[in-house]
Amino acid sequence: MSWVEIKDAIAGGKTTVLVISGSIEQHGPHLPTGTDTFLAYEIGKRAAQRLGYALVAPIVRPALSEHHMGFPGSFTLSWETYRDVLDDYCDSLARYGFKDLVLMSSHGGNNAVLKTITPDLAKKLYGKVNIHLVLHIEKGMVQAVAFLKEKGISAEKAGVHSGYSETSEMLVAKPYLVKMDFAEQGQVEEALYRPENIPRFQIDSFIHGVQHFSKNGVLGDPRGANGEIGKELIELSVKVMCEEISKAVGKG
Amino acid sequence: MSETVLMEEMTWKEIKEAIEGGKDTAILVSASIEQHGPHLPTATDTIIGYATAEAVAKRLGNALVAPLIRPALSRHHIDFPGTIALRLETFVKVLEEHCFCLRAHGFKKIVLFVSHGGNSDALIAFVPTIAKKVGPDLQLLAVSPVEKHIKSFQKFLALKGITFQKAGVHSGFSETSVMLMLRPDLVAMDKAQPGLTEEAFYQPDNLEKSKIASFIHGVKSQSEIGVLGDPTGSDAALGKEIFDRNVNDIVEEIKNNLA
Repeated sequence: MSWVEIKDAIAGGKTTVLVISGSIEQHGPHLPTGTDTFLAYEIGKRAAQRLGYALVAPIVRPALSEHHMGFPGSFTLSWETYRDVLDDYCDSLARYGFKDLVLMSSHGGNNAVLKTITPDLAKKLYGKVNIHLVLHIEKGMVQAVAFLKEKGISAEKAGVHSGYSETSEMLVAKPYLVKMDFAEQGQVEEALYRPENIPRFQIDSFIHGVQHFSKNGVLGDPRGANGEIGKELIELSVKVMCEEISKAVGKG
Repeated sequence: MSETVLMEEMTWKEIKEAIEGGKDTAILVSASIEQHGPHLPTATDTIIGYATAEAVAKRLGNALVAPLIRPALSRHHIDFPGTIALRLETFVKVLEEHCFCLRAHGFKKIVLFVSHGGNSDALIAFVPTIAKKVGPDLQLLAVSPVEKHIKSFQKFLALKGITFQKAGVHSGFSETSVMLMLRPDLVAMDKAQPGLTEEAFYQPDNLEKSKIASFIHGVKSQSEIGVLGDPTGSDAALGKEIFDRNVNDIVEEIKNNLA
């Protein structure tokens, strides 16, 4: 969009801006390092269009991917720099007449730090713009796992990184960047993917690095990933995102 | 399979194999998210930056393109909605951390350039410090200040009867023509209007002074619509020539400066 289009959109009621953090990090032998960023654009765009009152800022990337640095092509910021980048995004966007600025993430690795830094960011701009934090992916993942279970796809196959679920979504968002010939099974130990174990699994992968859990960088099993299922998964994400944003900005 | 050189579009294995196979150079471009008049998108410098980096990497044959850095230094455009500006400190840290990541993956050389003039001075100023921090295993090379590019397309367009003030330095004939070549779907020629076209502003001897005035007083004080130049009548064929000449200049400078 041009600056005039952005100005007119805000004046016309698009007073919410979505600032979604993605990542540049390895996604197995079959998906590109830009996967989280491509999916953030795809899902963010659809959600904003459906809401009708939101615009999508350029996706924040790279972000926090230290746990993927064992694989070439991953980029990470230090958490201080990531915070400063978000601070500068907020400071810039607060000038243009947006009422609500919603911080979100399409990459789980950003969530913990987002939770920690958002209160300070919000306080700095208090009175200028309302800053919200919407962490839709955890809720989205629970629903996605339930949906896939009905289709006969187990939680460990669905996976949490480059597995059946994310690969199916990429077959919709950027099919020409998905190399199904190279899709291999990664970490599929059933116990790791039980809902009660997921937080521990996540923390361990942050501390020890993803290569500790999977040599090929895949957590899940992408084989047989399917664009039709991907469409439904994206729709599910968009739905959860829209619900959570509406609640946050008081339009729910 | 397409031979992409954009790391964002490659898998980690492809990147690993490319580095091991001799692609030891990473291209790191600093772009912007900033207003580009009523007719061009805020991602203009990012789009041109990706295309330039891709063309340069393919010509070099031993290079991959790192994710472009954007947003970056656009404080002087902050009066226009949609502009996102990093502070200098944030930009330098982002730049530095990109270099650390590239070193970790085994690149031996990083070529840095800008697709947005506002980053140029900071890049020149801070690359030596960053080079010291990343250490001797990694060679950093900052090439092609934007001033050289401007003077080059000014000279070229003058031969085609386009004045310096029409060619412009931001969203004028030159940049709009390049965008018409790369992304015509994002150019609204029906909204293109002349911005600042004061002849003296664009004289080669004054460019540095004009740029400093933009940085200090903001582009809005120079053009209400955010256009420095005149984009009307922009031409994709000329855009291609401007683009190719810039790629040539950058490639030549790299070849002259990298062992």
